[in-house]
Formats: sequence, structure tokens, C-alpha cells
Amino acid sequence: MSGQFANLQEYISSLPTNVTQNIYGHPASCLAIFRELPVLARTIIMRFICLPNSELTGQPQPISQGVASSWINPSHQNTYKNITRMLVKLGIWNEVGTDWQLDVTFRNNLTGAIFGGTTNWLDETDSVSTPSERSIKKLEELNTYSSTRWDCVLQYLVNPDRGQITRDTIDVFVHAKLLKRNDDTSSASTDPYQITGTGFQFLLMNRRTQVWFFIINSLETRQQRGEDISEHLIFLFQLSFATFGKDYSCEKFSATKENFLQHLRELGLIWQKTRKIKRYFPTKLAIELASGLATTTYGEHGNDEIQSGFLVVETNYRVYAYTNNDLYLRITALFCKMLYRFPNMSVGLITRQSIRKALSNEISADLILNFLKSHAHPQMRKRLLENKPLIPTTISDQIRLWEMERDRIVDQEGMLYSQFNSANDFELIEKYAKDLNVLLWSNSQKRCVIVSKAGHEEVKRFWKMQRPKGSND
Amino acid sequence: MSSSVKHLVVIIDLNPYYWSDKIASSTTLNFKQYLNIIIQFCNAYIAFDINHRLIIIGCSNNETHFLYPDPTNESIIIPTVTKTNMFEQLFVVDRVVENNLKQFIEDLSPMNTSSGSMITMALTQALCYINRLIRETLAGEKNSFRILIIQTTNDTSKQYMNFMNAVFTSEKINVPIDGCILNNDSSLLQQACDLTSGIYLRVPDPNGLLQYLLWLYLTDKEVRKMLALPTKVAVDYRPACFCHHKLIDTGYVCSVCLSIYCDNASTCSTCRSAFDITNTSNGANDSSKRQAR
Repeated sequence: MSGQFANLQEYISSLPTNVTQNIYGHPASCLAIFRELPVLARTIIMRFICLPNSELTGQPQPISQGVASSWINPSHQNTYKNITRMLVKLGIWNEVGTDWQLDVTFRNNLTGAIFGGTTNWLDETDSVSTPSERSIKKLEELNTYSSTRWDCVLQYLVNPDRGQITRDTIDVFVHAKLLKRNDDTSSASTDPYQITGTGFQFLLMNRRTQVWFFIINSLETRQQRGEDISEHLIFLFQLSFATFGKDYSCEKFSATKENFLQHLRELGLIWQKTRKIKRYFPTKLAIELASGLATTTYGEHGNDEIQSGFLVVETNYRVYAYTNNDLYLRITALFCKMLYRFPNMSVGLITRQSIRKALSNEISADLILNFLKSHAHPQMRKRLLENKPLIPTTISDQIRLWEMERDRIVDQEGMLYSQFNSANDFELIEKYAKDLNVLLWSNSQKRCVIVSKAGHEEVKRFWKMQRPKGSND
Repeated sequence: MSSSVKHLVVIIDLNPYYWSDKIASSTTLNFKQYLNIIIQFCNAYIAFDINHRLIIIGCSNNETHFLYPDPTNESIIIPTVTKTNMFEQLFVVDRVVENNLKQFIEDLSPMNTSSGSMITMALTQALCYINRLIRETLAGEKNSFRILIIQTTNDTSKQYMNFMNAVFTSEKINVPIDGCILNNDSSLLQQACDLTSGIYLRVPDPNGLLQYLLWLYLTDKEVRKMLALPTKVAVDYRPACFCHHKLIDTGYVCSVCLSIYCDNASTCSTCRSAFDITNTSNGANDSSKRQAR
């Protein structure tokens, strides 16, 4: 499921055309989308941008396809073809006859973003209001705020009594299939919702991927409700280019936008003192949202400070978690057998059973390893200096082996042919099935042949032709 | 997917001698347009990728100056202007560069006779800066560095020794040097680009400077492989002699330290070894006179 809209461009190209056109109407979204494109595509677009708009039509100058492809080294024409397909799908390039033409709104707003243009980046109305002391929020405070808020949301998934979240957020969880309605009313549990396998996977993802996944689902929920999400998307893109530690005005926000703002506030993407004060601070969660989604693999980047590492994994399968955070301990307990809990540290053990339990919850070995890596204690990170892998190889190999254990059996539907009258008949069928490449298994002693379901019809017909009188199925 | 931070050091030639001649002609670029183009390129570089970092060094005929990041005030400047029509970060960058540039040009002292730019000085500064960044690199972080020299003035062969030393250093620490020249072909810059596998280009039409910059110099080696690049011209490998700093085709090479001289001398000025003049005067001249290539 983490494969669902793994990146921004896939998501954008899945949106209806009128929404994308609306999004391209703002420089922030153009720049955000531009940054997510493959580097060659960006270079080509840059070259297109240099050309001034045609004086006659005011449209970007079209460039013949032949010329454009001559810019690319002949050995990389395939990459180029993929890129053209992607750009056309995104609506950035239009095919005009035999020419390529850049979308006019996209071009104008992207140049605006980079070189300065006419569209206003922010709809700030008030003049420079000197930031009074009381509205300035300290940077660290913003960070703690955002991580407590987000933890609170996650907390709900693991332990619904603890996290306090709004109806909106629960709706998104249900839409994203992280939670499902608890049909089993007879059981003692009174929770109306139950966490799904996807939900477990979600918990183990790194924070930026989590936020991204959540926001996309949140937008989808809103879209289903009939809201125009282009406004929200533009707002999100604006946020992602905002300066950290600066406050912005939300005075002129429409009712739906205000509602979305409050939703983001709940998630910890922005901070607002009270609803009445019409200024908000974007937090790191929001700023990092659209910028550099492609680099979400591991938290090797310095900007994962919000969740500093606390996990130490040793070659004896012990896991030490230096944290008091209940949420992280619960997540760790998803794949560890917890042994002891101390005031500042807990000890767990990775066992075959604990990993198998996690695997049966649809958590993959990769997710577990990624979690261990992205939350590795600074002490563990020192291993990198000695050119050792972050997680001891014994551990990572063993976890993968335990995962593979589950895949020992593969089932395939097939049809059994048995009770052949003669060895000749058996060989005939066996050979025919083998030639058709539909033979799954055969045994000459027992005179049994198993043919895959797809090949059954063909083999049956062949057998009937050979032996019109009687067939042994 | 590697998320390495890519640093680019741009060295801009701001030599007033070059631009003072250009005021009259309207067909070519003037100084303002030139600066505009460079700022646009810098903006594009920062906007291009989240992992791009930029350093700008300006150099004139007698001094160099860090234009960005601000050498005096490295703290994050929170923009006070709220109404911008540009990406906020870029807006800040532009203001910083603009202020520093103004300062730099105002401080230029007119009393100097040499007309060549201090490209070498800027290049060594850039290398020092890169060296510092390399040392500060944390474990598991991957950084890559690149230098782009935008030159307008002709080479000064006086700088040959220092320049080549800097080039060899950057070759050693794997920093490609890209060269872009507006004036006549520069043999020094050509050699630098060739040695460090960077791209050298003499811009045929200065009005298209921005396009050349954006197409060739925005991205690094990996992307360049995919582009159709301008064909390489034969590189002028002439060295400068150590005695008069002139570019020479044929010269004398010291057999001990490989210093190059344009004229036959009795002692090597670099390593002080004495040459046996009597021997050379006996017609063995050719053995010590070599093609200095």
C-alpha cells in the first residue's frame, strides 16, 4: 500500500484535468511539481523556459519534436521517451502537430516562481506587522508541538482510548483502510474501530511518508464529499515553501479553507494560538511535506531531527529502546518480545515468533528493517563511520529469512489426470502437456499428471481426439 | 535513491575593465544584463532541486568577495517583506546577493594597473571553502562539489603557476571545474576544464548566455551523460614559462624539477641547480630543449 501514489507526480496525474489546471495556476504548486520531476525532465523544461513567449499568440513557443530529441544523447533516447510520456500525462507538455509546447499557465507560473513574475505567491493583505514578541514561537517549541500532535494521531491507531482526535481524522483513517469498523459487537472490547494490517504498516513507515499518505487520503475523503481540493493542494504547496519560524496570515481564508486549516492544525502541520488569532506558523512537518518526497527512503537526512534515534540493535537479537514515548514502545512491541521496562529505557528481544506475529499482521521485513534504521540511536549510526551496515547483518538476514519461510508454499490451481490404462497413454499426455508448457507435475510410477488450469481445456480436447471412446479425467 | 547534497561554487568575473569598453555597443550584453542573467541562473539552480546548495564568489581585477552565503551574517534571515511574487527563499537569496554585490562594487579601488581578473584567487578560496565542507561532512552523508567559473576577461599568464596548482588540487579532490567564457578562448580555463572533466564553453552569442548556463551548467555529470553536449575543441595545452610568464610553444625544461623556461639560463630559479652551459654550447642544445607539452 505504500506503493499507492509513491510520489507526487503519480498523484497529480491521477487527478482530473480541471483540478490540475487549477493547481498550475499558482507558482508554488508549479515549483513543487517541477522539483519532483526526474532530473532530465527538469533540464529540458529549463531549456523550454528560456525561450520567450511568442509575440503573436502570447503562448509559449512550440519546439519541433525532432529538435527536442536532438538535445538528448542518442544512447538515452529511451529515457527521453519515458519523460515525454510523463510530461504529457501531467499536462505540462502539449502535442501541437509535430511540436511540443509547454502549458502556458505552467510556464508562466514556474518562471514567476524562479525569476519573479506577476502572480502573488502569498495572498498576504496586511502590511508588515512587526512580529510582536508574544506571537513569535520558538523554533524548538514548534517542533515539539508538531511531533506531539502527530504522535497523538498515531496513538489513536494503537490505543483508541488515549489519542483525542476529531471525527474528520477518523473518517480519513477509515477511508485509508487503516481502521475498520469493528463488526464483532459481542466481544468485550467497546472500541468501534479496529486497526487493520495496513494500519500496522502505516505505523512503521517513516514520518514523512506517513504524513504524505495521510494527507492524500484526507484529500480524497474531501473530494468524495464534493469539496474542491485544488484550493487545498495549492495551500499545501504554499506551506511547503514557507519559511520555518515565520507566521502567516489566514485572514482571508474561505470557510472550507479555514476548515482544512483546522484539520492541519490538529495533525500538527501548522500551529495557531487560538482560532481567533488569524496568524499561523507552519511546522517542519508541513514544510517537508512536498519538498523532496523522493528521498523518503531512510531518515539519513539531517532533517529527521523530530524523531531522533533511540533504538539500539545488538547481534544477540536484543533491542534497546531509549525512550519513554508510549507510542514508539507500542510500535516496537509489534515485532519485538518486550522483556523489561525501565524509567528511561526498555529492552526487547527479536524472536522468530515475534517476527512471525508481525508478518501475519501484514508487516513486511523491509518495513521492520526500515523502522530500525530510521530510528537508530546515534551510537548505532557510528557504525556507518566504520563502513559497517547500520543494522548488524545477522539480524537483517535473519529477519528476511523468517519472512521467506512463509513463502515456502506456492499454490497453483490444476487438474489431475490419473488411472491411465497404459503407460503409452500416460506418456502421450505427459509429453503433450510438457510441449504446451502446462505440465505442473507428473509421476510415471503412479501414472499421474497434473496440468495447470489454463491448459486443462486444451489437454482434454487432445485426449478426446486420441481416445474418442472414453476419457479418464 | 541517493539524496546527496550538491554544492556549486560560482565564480563570477566582475572586472570593471571589461565592462567599461562595452557601454557604447548595444548589440552585446551590458553589465546590468549580465548580472541579471547570473542571478537568474543562481535562482534556477536553487529552485532546481531541494538538495542544491549555492556559493557565489565575485572577483575583480584586484580582490575577491563571497557574495553568497553572507560572510558577515550567517543566521537565517526571516524575510520581513511579506508581499513577494517569488519563492520566498529565492527572494532572500537575491536580496543578500544584491546587497553584497553593491558593497563589493562600491569598494572597488580604481588604482590598479593590472587588468586581469583574480580568478586564481577566487578559485583557491573556493577550494578552501570546499575543503572545509568536506571536513564537516557527517558519517553517512554524501556531498558532491562543483565549481563554475564565468570569465569575461582574457587570461593573465602571470597566474599560470598558481592557477594550475589549484586545478591539480581540485582534480585530486574530485571537484570538476566548469568554464564559461564570454570573451576570447582562454587556454588556462580550457586546460582546467579538460583536466577535471568539466565542460568548457566559449559563448558565441552573449545574449544567449542564460540558455547556455541553464542547459549545460545546471546539472552535474550524471545528467550530462544524457545530453547532447557541444563538441570538444582541441585543448590548447601551452604552458607559461616561469621566468617571464609568457605562453610558449617550445621551451627549456629543467632536468631536476621540470620548471619551464623560455630562454636558456645558467641556473634554475626554482631549484637552484646549475646547468652545464659549456656542454650545451657544444651543439648539444637540442637535448635540453624540448617541446614543452
